[in-house]
Amino acid sequence: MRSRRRPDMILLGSILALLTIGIVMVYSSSAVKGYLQFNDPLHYFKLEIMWVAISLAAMFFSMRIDPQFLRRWVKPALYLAIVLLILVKVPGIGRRVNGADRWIGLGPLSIQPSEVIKLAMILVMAHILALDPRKITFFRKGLLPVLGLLALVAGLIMLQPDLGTTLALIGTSFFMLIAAGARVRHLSALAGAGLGLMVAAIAAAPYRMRRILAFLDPWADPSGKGFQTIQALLALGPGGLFGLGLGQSRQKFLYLPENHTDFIFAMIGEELGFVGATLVIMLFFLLVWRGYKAAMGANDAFTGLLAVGLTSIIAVQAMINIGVVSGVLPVTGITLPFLSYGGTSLIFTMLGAGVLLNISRQ
Amino acid sequence: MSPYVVMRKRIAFLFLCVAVFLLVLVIRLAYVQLGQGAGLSKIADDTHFRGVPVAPKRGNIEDRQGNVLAMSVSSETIYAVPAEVRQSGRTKEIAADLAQLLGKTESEIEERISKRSILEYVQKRVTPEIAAQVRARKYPGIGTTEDSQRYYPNGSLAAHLIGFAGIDNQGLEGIELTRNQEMNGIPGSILREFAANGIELPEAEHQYLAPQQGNTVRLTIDKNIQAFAERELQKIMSGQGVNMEGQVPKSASILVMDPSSGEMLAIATLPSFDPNHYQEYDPGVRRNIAVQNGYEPGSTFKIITLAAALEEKEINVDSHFFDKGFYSVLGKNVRCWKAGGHGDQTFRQVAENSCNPGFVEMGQRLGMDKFYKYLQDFGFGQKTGIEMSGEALGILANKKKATALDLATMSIGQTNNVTAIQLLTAVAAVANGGTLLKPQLVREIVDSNGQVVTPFKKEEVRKVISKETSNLECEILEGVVTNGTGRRAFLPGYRVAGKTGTAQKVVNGGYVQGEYIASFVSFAPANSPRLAILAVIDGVPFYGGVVAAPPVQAVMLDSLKYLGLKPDPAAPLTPSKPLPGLEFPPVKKAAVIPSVLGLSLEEAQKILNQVGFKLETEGQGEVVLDQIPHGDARVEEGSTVLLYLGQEAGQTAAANWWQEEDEDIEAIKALPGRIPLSN
Repeated sequence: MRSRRRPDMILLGSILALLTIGIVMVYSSSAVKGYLQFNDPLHYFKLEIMWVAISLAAMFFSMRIDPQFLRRWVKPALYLAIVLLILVKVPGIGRRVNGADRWIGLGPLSIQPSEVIKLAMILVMAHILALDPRKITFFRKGLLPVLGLLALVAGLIMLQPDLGTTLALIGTSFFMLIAAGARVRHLSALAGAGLGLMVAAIAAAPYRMRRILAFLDPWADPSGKGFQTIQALLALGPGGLFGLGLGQSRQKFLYLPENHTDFIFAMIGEELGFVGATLVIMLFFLLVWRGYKAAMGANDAFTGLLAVGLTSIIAVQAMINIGVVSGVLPVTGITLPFLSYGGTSLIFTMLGAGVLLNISRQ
Repeated sequence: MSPYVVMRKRIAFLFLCVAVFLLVLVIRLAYVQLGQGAGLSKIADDTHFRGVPVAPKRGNIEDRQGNVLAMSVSSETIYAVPAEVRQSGRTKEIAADLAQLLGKTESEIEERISKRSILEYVQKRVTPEIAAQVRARKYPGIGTTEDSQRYYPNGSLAAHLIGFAGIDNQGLEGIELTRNQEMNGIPGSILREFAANGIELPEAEHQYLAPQQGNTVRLTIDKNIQAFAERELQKIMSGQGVNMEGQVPKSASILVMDPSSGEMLAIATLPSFDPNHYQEYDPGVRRNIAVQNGYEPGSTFKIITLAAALEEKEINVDSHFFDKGFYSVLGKNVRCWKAGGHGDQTFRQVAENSCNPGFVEMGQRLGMDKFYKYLQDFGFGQKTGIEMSGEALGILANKKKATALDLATMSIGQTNNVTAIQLLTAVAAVANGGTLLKPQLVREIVDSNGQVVTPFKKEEVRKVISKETSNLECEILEGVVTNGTGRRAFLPGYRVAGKTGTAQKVVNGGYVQGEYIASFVSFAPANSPRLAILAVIDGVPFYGGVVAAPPVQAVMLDSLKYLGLKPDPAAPLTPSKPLPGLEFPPVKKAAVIPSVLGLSLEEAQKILNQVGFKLETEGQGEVVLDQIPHGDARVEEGSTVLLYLGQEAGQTAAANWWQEEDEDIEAIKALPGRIPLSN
């Protein structure tokens, strides 16, 4: 019988703390934009509250789902995700934003299929890898089919195109393969191949190359390629140790683009300083620690790998996002889990967090 | 090992990886936020804040007594932040109203306030009333800032020296230009914070950086002495000059220097302009001809020849020289201005008489090398270094090509071209004991607290002649005024030294008939000179001793009195010989003389009589070859016009038609032709 222990309170606490910081920072950073676009400084904040409410409900709902029960939904989840990814490209259903087809409109609602696919893929991978734990040590029998599926999904996501999600997914999958016991030499070869793929991806879309160049020396083209990195640094720098104070950001006055979504961490650094930024990183550290702890304490391989996947997707996204904002990684559009404004992202992150919390009961 | 154990180890490894990467991120943040924080903050501030400049008050220009010659008066500037105007959606309305307030067209204003720039000036230099009205409107994106405007309270007084500043208070000419930096100060600013779309942030941080006010430039010029000089020039330029018979020259300058320090007390030049409205004047009028133009000095230059000959002991003042009326050099005769010559004289009398052969003799005794040495030492052919842009060098005959005849003409002040400031500086060296000084215009620089930043420093260029030579020459030049050709500059009770000069004008390499540059240079008191004055009148049919000496005399007398110099009981009260015409001629109505050149005597007579002029004729012939005064000259009504008759145009019979003897004119006449300027 499943134990009905309390979930890991440290894990829950870190999630709720991140969520709270997210609400506050979304309010602070979106007020100017909301005022200028909708004549309402609270515009984004109101929506954020709504999304937080929904996502909390989603989390408490998924906390009650038995991970083993989820295994039944592996195939439908995968098919649904793939269908959604195709629909994105269908005119009339897919919505084009900033030159990328990342959204599907359902009446007044719009969702990002790539958020769905992340959870679906974690589920699928955990399922496959848990079927026969020794199989993965064989390249052709074990590793190759998993890689094939991953390549298909990643390819579909890159059609949008959405490099950030692709990278997060590949990174998470890689983490799961490591945890599942894949051979080190296979994984090394894979890493090499991944690097090759990245080079290919860059070759396919020149703007990625420019972004990478910009990351190496943002000041070479401060108004062009290096713009976002510089604006992020111009938020972090003045923040100093304790920050300019909550609500005192200056970069939010339209200097830093995407300041309430992908670059919200820069706002945290500017208003709350190094202390606030480090606190956020500490919370992610706690979350990852307790997430992996839950994975280690799982009753079975599937549950363990699911926990590894759910924790890793948060860890990978957080690392890439903060790496981008602080200028150690090239600019890639990726949200900061729990903190960035965005409905779909938040709901699916919280859905995953709920499952993780449920696993932590074990 | 079971897969499950492997998985736990692998998960621990993953956790380690994540932990390490998070640590890297923390280190990176520490580097960016704590290490680079200050530098990035500065860049961020530069991006967020934009300064509305606050102009510093430009320093005054004052005369040596502290009288203001140029000052800055507060005015206001209306500026626009176009992005804010656009944002308000009231561009049209604002443009219409401002156009009405400022008296401009609506489209003009609209264009300005909707320009794609951060900050745009709508109108500079508005009155405080208009600025207050603009502020009262409280238009979004329209503001006012304090500015200053240059004002010259004395109008055209010393305009050539002061120069003027442009609309942005940048010096464009004169002292305004040369001391631009010192007077400008350092602008301050009001910093305002802006959003990326150019909107000023509400309740944004305002930082005020006070401007550093400019320094005051105190000139060596004395406003009163400058005014004495300009008064005399105005008399001359309005046809009321002494002995000018109502004629108006092209231009005239009077320079006053303190020969003991090199300080210029006045440099006056007419025509002049009002620097308050400098744009309305022809740039030619703004030329400071005393510094920027050269001329042939004529006999005033004999001072230099004499100084050189005395210093080199080529002559003894009491030794004798016989003037037979001409001096032969290279087969040409350089004639004395006095027909038949002065006969036997001492060299002292040579100077008093301005005897040409006597000075030619001095030049020949000196020889080419020594003569040129003194030209150089006295500063001819070089800039004096006076603080005026565009100073002319003057032109000296090329030493390598110069002949003995050139030396002869140079000795009496012809052939070479000098500037008025050069000549006065050289004469000051003769007067002050023998030291050539740099003529200076700036006495001191004073900061806004009244502290002297840069005090006056006398600048000696070189020692040219000995004190003994200087003393001797002062005495001789005093004799020129007391006994000789300079008697019109005589001042009862003062020891005045001086020398006349008349030079024919050179146009296109040839001398112009009947049009001279009349000059007079003088200094006093002769035993301890405090003032050296040079007057140059360009474009008159009169001689230096006649028309240039009286204004020098007037300025000298007024200045001596103004400086509190008491008459010297030892000084003579009358010149040795009385001089006619010292009184001012009555001013009559002016009339324009028609030109009758080339007409027959009968025709000329008819035309001139019609307009009411009397006439006299000189020479024999049917055709009018020349007339004095010239056609188009403004003279007193009913004056006498002298017609010079000849057989055919271009052939002038020798006739002594001048009413007064002048050594220079005679010398010029005696020359075989134009000696072209070499060099």
